[in-house]
Amino acid sequence: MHRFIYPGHVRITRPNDKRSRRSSEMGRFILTGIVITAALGIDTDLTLSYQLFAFLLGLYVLAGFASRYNKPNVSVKRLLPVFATAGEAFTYQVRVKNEGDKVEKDLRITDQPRVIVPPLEEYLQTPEPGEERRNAYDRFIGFHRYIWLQRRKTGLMVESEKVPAVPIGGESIVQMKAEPLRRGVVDLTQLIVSQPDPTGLVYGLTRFEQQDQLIVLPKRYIISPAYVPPGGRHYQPGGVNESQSVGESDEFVSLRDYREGDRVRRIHWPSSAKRNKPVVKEFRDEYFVRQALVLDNCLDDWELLEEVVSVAASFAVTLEQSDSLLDLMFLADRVHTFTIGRGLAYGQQLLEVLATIQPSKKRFETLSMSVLRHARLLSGCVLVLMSWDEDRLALVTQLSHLNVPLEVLVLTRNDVSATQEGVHFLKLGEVEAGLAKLTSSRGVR
Amino acid sequence: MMRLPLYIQGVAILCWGWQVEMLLYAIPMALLLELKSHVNRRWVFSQKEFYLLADITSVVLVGLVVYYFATARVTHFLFFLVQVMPMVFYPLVLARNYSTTEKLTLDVFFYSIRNDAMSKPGILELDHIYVGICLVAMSTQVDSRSWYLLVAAALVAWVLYVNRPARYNPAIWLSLMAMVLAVSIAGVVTLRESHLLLKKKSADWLAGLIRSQTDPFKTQTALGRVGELKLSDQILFRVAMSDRSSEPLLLHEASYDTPWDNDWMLLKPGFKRVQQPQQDTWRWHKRDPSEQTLTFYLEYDDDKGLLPVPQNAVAVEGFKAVELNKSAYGAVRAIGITPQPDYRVHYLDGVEINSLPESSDWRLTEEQKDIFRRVIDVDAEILLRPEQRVQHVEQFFEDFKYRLYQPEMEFASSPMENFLNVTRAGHCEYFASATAMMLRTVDIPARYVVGYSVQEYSPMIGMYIVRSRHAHAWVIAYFQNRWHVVDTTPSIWLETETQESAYYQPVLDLIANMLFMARHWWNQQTEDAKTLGWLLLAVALFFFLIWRMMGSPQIKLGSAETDAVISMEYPGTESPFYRIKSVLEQQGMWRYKGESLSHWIARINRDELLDLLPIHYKWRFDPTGASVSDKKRLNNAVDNWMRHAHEVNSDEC
Repeated sequence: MHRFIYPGHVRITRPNDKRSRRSSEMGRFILTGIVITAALGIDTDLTLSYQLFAFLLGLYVLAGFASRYNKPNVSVKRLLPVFATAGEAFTYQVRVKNEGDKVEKDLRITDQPRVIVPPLEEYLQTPEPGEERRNAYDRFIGFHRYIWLQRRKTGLMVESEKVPAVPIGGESIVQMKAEPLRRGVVDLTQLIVSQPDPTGLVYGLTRFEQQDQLIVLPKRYIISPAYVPPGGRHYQPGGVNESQSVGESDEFVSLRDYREGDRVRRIHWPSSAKRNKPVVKEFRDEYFVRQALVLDNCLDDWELLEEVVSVAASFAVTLEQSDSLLDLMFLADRVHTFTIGRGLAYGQQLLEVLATIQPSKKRFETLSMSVLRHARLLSGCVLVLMSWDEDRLALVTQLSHLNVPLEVLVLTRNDVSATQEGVHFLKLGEVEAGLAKLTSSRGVR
Repeated sequence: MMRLPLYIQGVAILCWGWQVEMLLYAIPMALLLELKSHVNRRWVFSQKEFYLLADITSVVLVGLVVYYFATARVTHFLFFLVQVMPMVFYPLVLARNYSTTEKLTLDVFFYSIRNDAMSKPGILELDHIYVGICLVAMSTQVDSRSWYLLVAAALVAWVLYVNRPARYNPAIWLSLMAMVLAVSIAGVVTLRESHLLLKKKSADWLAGLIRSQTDPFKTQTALGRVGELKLSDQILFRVAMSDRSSEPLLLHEASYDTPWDNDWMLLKPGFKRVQQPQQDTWRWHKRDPSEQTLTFYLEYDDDKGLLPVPQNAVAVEGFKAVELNKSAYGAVRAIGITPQPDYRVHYLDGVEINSLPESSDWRLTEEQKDIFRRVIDVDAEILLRPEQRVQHVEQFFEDFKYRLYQPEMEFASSPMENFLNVTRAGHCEYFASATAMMLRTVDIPARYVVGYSVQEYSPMIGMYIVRSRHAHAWVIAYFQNRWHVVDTTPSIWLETETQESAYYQPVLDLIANMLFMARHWWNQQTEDAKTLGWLLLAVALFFFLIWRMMGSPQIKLGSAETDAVISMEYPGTESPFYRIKSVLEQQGMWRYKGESLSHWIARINRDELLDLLPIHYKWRFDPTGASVSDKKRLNNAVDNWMRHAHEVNSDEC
């Protein structure tokens, strides 16, 4: 059934066809009245509803006609923030400047993101979260599913706002309320200024083409500052910052006999005098923490992937330290490794990368091989997985054999009864609580 | 947000009450509702209490739907329902207006949304909807065709005026509304004329498609129709008899003399106007009506129709109509019927509603005669006495079967031949048609009669029930100087059709009969008693509401604490500079909130005012205030500026 209704959904939700945008609240009331009086007034012998129908219809049609005139003479400018976070409402400003010679009153402004129509197959296969709780009619028609999917793909919901009266030569600032519905890039295409007709039933629209992009960062959970990342304290608490030496002098380890090629300034003269042969000082290589954040995006499950990215983003923010490196590893056309820390890049850029991650059709083994090749460089590894199967178990086992300290987090749809040592299962909807539990269990590590 | 003008709900209720002649109820309703502006108390109703009130409203609404559907005509069903809508929704609207709840949500009315955890219910603008309900309910009274549009338009325009956008001059708004009114008057005339034209054009066409009532001039039969004949269990009317007969009573609607193809026609009905000796009493026979009466509980779908009457009826009493006509063929036709709960038909033994036979009562074509000559020996029959001939005809059909199903006919065979020679089974129209033609073949004048067979007695209501499927066809034959009923349809026909009823029909009948009894009881009350009943109900509801409201949590509006206004006089606010500011702001050059005067003056390019600012600031903010000379100087400068601004404005105009 949904297959046949789908074109109708597409048609009535097309942005330019939205009658609701043109009709005011009172206009919609009148439209409803037109339908009811048309039905009741079909027999002019029986009721006089046809008279009310004629009046309401005439009123609405003439109001629609009148709304084409008296367009506002204004210019608009959108002032967007650099970033927004998925699921967190924010406000931004639109500046409306009066370019005409009369006060502009009763205007409304609507910001229009680029509406992305969900493809039919996706519409058929993707149920709205909690759809089973909707009533039978809504499930049958599937309109809520379509709207949810369209909004999710579009990515941003912006409320239409009233514009305060704009004085001649002056400007008004409108606070727009918006809510990003997904991470990624959202395109804002046009600002629509609408003015009412004299009866206030129908709005005339003036469109201002204004292209902007907003980067929506993934949702992040709070991880306690007490959380200790795996492999974060290797030999020296705090890494380089805690070293005793400065400049080129690294950490002294031992003395040994001079070998050809050793720098003369490394000769330890007192020992050489005692031993009567040249003895040089030996140093440990400068050490710093390098952790990997491995993100499993190998399954085509939108809801799970969003949570995986959110959990990864939460860890990325927690693990980011200026003196350590953090490698984000994920699959796209190939395995990508994005490294931040020590001046290479910053956490904000990592979040931008996370904002754009899409499901990959590559096998998990590809990612697995890459992580293992990279393992010798790592002082710790956080694995955020979308499922728990043999491939993923194999990766965890091999990393353990390589003595890489691990934090394994698996996102699941259902409760997992069987527990795996060192693996944390986070159920959808209870991720925040799951992460809190993870923090409290760090003491036994 | 849409605002409603003060008192519009009360005005809408009064207009409705006036229009539908319920002013007695509308006045207290309107007063009680609009009293809210003068009552400084509001009651705290929870969402659950609104749910309960909405549920009660829904139950009342459903009850009314069932009641009207079961008792009124289909066209009147909606009419009555819409007419009383303002009363049905009134308690809910009253509760909303006297409650602390500003807006109701859609879940109050939609049970499905209440249980839908996923949806956030939208706002229900009940007050606005209620005005709309009153407007639509007003439209059910068609007597005020000339001014309904004006009243409705005035109410809608009132709402629009209060909510009109500030960017337009009221004159523009007024002009547009005048145009709308002109267009809508043209639209109303066009719609009405189009409907009348359409009605006129389609009347004949529809008459051929829909057999909504018995036509005194022609009856269409189902002869020749193949397949199962579908019959309805719908109750058409009820009949109460002064003496309950054991014999099935046949109610005559019309009789016909000319068989035509598969139908029967009446070429010369000879309708004559019936005398009306008293108001609502009609008599077509000279003899005085006896005590033998049938009381009919029948509502007509239209303002004209045929009255089902017994074959020996003499008068109708308590029947409100403009005109009653009776044909020589026993049809009683009423014109200009006013809806009424019941009427009585008097009948007398030995009286006949049909006129004496005429030549058309023998009429048959040679083809028709040939069909019957093949099945009976006409020459032998003619020699017998008429009553023996009739008896033989009745005996001929004794081994025929009653059946609603007709199989496919043989090629080139007429339905009548098929009935007589092949199937030997059919429904009443076959039997009546064949009997009439056979009687005519053996030289007995006969007429084809349609009407109802009354035999389903309901002990619950003490009356006979007549359903659609009780419609019957039979024959009257003239011999021994009077008309005799000849009904050759096997007597099991009613049982056969009863078996076709739906299994749930008894339940529907029970509901319909209970509603009928309630309505019957109500109609038996005098007008005074009815008015008293309504008033008692209204008073009881009123006191219940008062008791319920007094017991509910409430808050007092406009108390000293909430209305306390903190007023504070600032020094220097009398500075004449504010006059300039006021003039400029009226011209659209507003100062933003928090914007300094100097910034504002620079922004609007009024540099000549910068010189006045220091004195104004001194006047306004200096604790010692401005000197008298400074004040005088500022006053003069402001006056000059104002004069100049005024001249510029005049020039522009």
